[in-house]
Order: sequence, then C-alpha cells, then structure tokens
Amino acid sequence: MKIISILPPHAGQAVIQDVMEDITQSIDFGDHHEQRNLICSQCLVGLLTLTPAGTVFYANPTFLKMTNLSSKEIIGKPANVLCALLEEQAEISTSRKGLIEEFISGNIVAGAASARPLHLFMKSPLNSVIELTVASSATNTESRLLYLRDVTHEAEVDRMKSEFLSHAAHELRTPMASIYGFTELLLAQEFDAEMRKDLLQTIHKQTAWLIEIINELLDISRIESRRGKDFKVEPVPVVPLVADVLSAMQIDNQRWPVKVDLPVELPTVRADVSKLRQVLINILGNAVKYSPDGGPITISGTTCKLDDKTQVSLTVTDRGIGMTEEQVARVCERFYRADTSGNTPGTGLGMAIVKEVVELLGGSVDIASAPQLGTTVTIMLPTVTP
Amino acid sequence: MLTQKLLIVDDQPEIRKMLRIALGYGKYQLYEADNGDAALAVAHAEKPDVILLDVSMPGILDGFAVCRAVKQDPNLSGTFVVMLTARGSLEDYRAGDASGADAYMIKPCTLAKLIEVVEKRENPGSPVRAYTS
Repeated sequence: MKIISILPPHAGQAVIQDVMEDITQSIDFGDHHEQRNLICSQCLVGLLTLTPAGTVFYANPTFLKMTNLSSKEIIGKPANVLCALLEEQAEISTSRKGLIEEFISGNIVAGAASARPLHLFMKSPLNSVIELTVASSATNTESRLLYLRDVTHEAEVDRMKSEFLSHAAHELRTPMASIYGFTELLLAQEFDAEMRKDLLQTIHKQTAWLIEIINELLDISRIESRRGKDFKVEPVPVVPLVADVLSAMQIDNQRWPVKVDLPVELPTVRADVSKLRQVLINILGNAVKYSPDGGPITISGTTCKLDDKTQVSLTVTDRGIGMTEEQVARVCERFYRADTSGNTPGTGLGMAIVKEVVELLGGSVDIASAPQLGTTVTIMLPTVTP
Repeated sequence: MLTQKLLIVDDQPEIRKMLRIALGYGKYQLYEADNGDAALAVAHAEKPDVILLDVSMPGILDGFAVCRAVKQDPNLSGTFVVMLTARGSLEDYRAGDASGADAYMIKPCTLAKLIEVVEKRENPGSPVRAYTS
C-alpha cells in the first residue's frame, strides 16, 4: 500500500485517485486499518467512503467537522440518509431536493472523479462553502469516495471580484450616460451657440470624471494586486512633502485658507513618497470638495508612541459639511459616496485608496466628523527610527 | 399642445437636463424629482402618464421602492414606469421586474431608443432588459 502523506488543501484529482485506491484496498483486504486511520485523520480534506452496497463505511474527522455531522449519524447508514443529512446542512432549496444523491450516484468512469465538483453553501459553520467531488474505484465503480474541500476563501474572493466589477461598471456608466446622451442631442438637434457651449461643457466635465474613475480604478487594483510589493519605501521628510503637495494642488487660499502647523523637528517617516503624496492629495482634495462654502483647513502633526514605536500623526481638519456616524463608518469602503447627488465630483475610491496605502505602509487612518461642523482625518505613519 | 405628463426622477442634475431637452418636444408636460420621496409626492399630485425612474438615489426610497408604491396605488394604474438606471446586473433587472416596472433600460442608452419606448409603451408589466441599442 502506498503511504500518502498529509494532503495539501489543493490536492488534485491524481491524489484523490491515490487515496481512493488506498482506501478501497484496505476495505477489500480488511487490514492496514491503522495506517489508513492515521492518514485520513490527519487529512486536511474531508473524506468519506461508500461501500459497493452504498452504505457509509468511513468518514474522517475533517469530513465530520466540515459537514457538522457526527459519525454516529452516518456510519453504516445508506447513501440516501447521508445525502438527506447533507442537504439539510447545505442550503439546498426544496425544489432541488435529491441533488446530492443524484450527484453521488451518477455515472462515473472507473477510477476517475466527477468532472465538475458540486459547491455546497453550508448553514454551519456559517457561510462556509464546500466543494464536493465524487470519485469511483478503479476496480469496483459502485464503491465511492466523497472528497470535500473548504473553498470558503476562494468563493469569497470570487464574490468580491464580481461585486467590484459590477460596481466599477455602474460607476463608469453614470458619466457615460451623460456623454452619450448629450452628444446624441448635439448631433440630432440645432442649438444656439450659448446652449451648444453649455452642452459641450457638460460633456467635457463628465469625460474628466470618467478619466478620474479609470485612473483610480487602476490605482486601487494595482495596490490590491501588488500588496505594497512595488512600494519604494524610503525615509520621507514630512514637512517638505506637505509643502510640495500644497504648491501642486494650488488650493484657492481666499476660499480655503490653509494653515500648516507642523513642528520642524517632526521625524522622518518610512513611506513610498509618490503613494504618500497621493494619500495627502486625496485627503486635502476631500477637505476642499466637502467645504463648498469655503473655510479654513488645518494641517497639523505630532509624534506619538504606539506599541513602543514612534509614529508620526498627520491631521487634516476642515470646517466643511461633515458626515454622520454612519457615513464615517463607510467612507473607506470602495465606491462609497457620502453625497450621491452628483453635485460633488468624485469616484468613491479616494478614501479607500488612502486606507489601503496607509495600512500597507504599516500605519493607520482615523476619521472624526460631525454634520455641519467638519471632518478631521488623521493618518499615523511609522518613523525611520523606532 | 402638452397633452401628457411625464415625470423625470434622477439625482443627477446632468441626466435630468439631458432628458428634459430630449423629451421637451411639445407633447409632454415635464416634472422632475431628485429623490424617491419627492418622486412619489409628484406622482400622487400629478398622476403622470410616464415616469422615467433612476434606481440609486439618496434617501430612504430607491427607484424600486418608488415603482412598487406607484404600482400598488390604484389611482396610478395608468402610469407607465420606465426604470432608467446604470445598474445593469441580472439581479438588478429582476428587482425591477419584481417591483412591477413596465420597461427596464440600462444607462447609457440612446435617447432615440428611450423616446421609442416612451412613445410605444409596449408590453406593460413585463420589462425587457435593454442595453444600448
């Protein structure tokens, strides 16, 4: 008998077949039980065997844990009892009753596994997703191995990806709708010069918005896929960087007088300078955008100790429209817009980028706000010398 | 002669402006609302023949909720509701269908197609999920 070491969670079909061969052999010859039990009990995948007569012969501890069933409930029981119990645990609607039994008893080529696995969404452990594969023995196609793999994480990643895509599509369609419609109007109707200019300005503005969305989508997906691996982390002096960002942004000092209150001795932080610049631009951009009536913006900084490590905290305070507690809680979510009226340009990605970047740099973001009073965004960043 | 009433519901001022220009060809008395609550108030007061209804709007009532309320009101039984939204997934369409919408159009769509749907008002109660065409 081949000894199979502890199976990796992503063991492929070849491994299933090996295991199955082993197990069916030990069923046939009635020995090697100890070895079999050792292998199967250590296995990270759920395994269950059905005898040629269709009764449950063995289930390993992982199988029981994944399905929330006990060996007392299933060992020696016919396959239909097992399937009914599994369907109870998985969220299978009454209209699809018998799905698992059909899947397990379906025709499978000798020594092969079912072509497509079945995904089960379990009630307990809550929200777990299990992939069920059935394989048949090479010698006796009636004896079966059920093979369970926990794919909760993969399923969640898939769900998040498709959610991101549908969100992105929605965000792109919104300015596209204006561009498409206004160009159609200009092509189909005659307008006087003033009106024509007005419509073209709208198209221009919506196109700029579209470009911003595309750039930020690319930014966030790049950050996501590289998880900071492409960051060029180096010592960054904060005071000159803030001055640099402010001169690039050219904030109208009449409407938004910016007061910079940074101590000259502020330590140098560890950061990627271009990413940190983007973080500051996003935060300051919001301070301006969400103070439509103008008002002072303050940038202050200090050092503090967190877990015995020195950090620099940078705070941007505005006197703008502010946010409710609920809006603050969601502001770093992708595509979340506190103002959905379309009156404030934006993509709903700015603060998501801030949070991702700062956290990848080993820092944290804190937001305090109150409606009509303004918002304070604080970022904490690790310093060069601890 | 403005013989019919049409209500435009969208939170984006640009979209309202676009629809106002496209549909202001002398047949419809146009009304506008930028959120669900305001839309329902206008609908009850004016009993429009057609409502062009966005889905994602600020406030408690989204477009689906507005559509449900319109369709449950016997006084508004003659109102034709066109969902006009950037939400293009199958789930969104199903939600629109379940809310009783008469047409489901996904932004961006051509104004020519939109005008055709508004003029013909075919198959009320069974919206066709239409991308740009």
